[in-house]
Amino acid sequence: MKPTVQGEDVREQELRWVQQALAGDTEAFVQLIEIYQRSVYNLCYRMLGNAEDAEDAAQETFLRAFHSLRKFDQQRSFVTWLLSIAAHYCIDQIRKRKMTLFSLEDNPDLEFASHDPHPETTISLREDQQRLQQLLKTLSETDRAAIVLYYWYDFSYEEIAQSLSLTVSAVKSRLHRARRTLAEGWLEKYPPASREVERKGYESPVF
Amino acid sequence: MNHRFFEERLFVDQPLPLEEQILVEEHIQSCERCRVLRAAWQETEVELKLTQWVAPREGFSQRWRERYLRRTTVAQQRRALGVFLVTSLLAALFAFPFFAIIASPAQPLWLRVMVALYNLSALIPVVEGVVTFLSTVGRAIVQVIPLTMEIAFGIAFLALMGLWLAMLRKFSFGRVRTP
Repeated sequence: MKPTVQGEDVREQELRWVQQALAGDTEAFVQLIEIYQRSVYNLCYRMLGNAEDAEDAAQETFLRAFHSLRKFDQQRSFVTWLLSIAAHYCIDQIRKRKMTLFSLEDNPDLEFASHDPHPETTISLREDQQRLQQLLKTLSETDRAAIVLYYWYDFSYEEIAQSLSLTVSAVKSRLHRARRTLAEGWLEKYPPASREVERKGYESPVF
Repeated sequence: MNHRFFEERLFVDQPLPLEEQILVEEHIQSCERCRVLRAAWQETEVELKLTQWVAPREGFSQRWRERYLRRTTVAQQRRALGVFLVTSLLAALFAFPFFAIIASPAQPLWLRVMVALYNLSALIPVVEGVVTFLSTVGRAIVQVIPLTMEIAFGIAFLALMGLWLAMLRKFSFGRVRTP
């Protein structure tokens, strides 16, 4: 699902807010935050692996976007530009801190996009998120950003290249390498033998 | 074709030409490693596509407003402090020659101004002395060290300065990278 604002009217509205924000109107910029906070936050979360850092990075992304709004080319998509700032910020943060992604079990504040009232569903979602974060942390920061933009945001190779300041061929090769790393990580975590046992456990003894 | 050729094709997301597809399928039938790896990637890909988005806590934009205000206030305070320090420094520099006027209020004004100007001019030999010393040292260095070494030192020094500035910019000022 690409996080774009649909429709020409909405695009025009978005540009109006950008222009008002350029004139110093912070409330117009807050409207843009309301629309894109989830996209930016999700990217930061996937990159940094925990809610606290993701919140900080998302906030910082919007601050930086507000301060460098003059550099935004209004012919381009605003959200692509925004996500590019977020990706660069997260990459810099990971490099700076050489941080390790910690377990989501330590992270009770995490909120999922779908607020399911059933606790068993929430636990299952949490496990899925945890499993995925464990896999993502095996990737280098730039490969991680490429994978996240490709699979969550449906970015094209060109858009990823533009967002991460890479060439299209570098993006392709990074994605290819990342897929292999993820598959190998998956295999390591869930070896075929264990999956076979798990599958057989669910099978009915009748058949 | 070797094993690597087929393994590489397991992670290509564009459709392969039909001939290659057939070759890869044939290889997978006979290669346990490729079969397992492909299954692992397919499961991972499903996981990637199905895992839900995470959303920030309620009140994200309100927290942004607060952060923006905090930052703006801090920036204004820093600017004000900078202006105050520069102004104080300039005021002190300008006030120094006239210290004599303030120090001896009993003397007539014209005399006090003259004294102040004299004090100012008394600094000229000191400045001259420092300049002469530095130029003498410079000339001595030029005579002792060969020109190529000087150029090399110069380049190395500039490179170090550049590196230092780049690191400072990257890690201290949180450079905003925009495409």
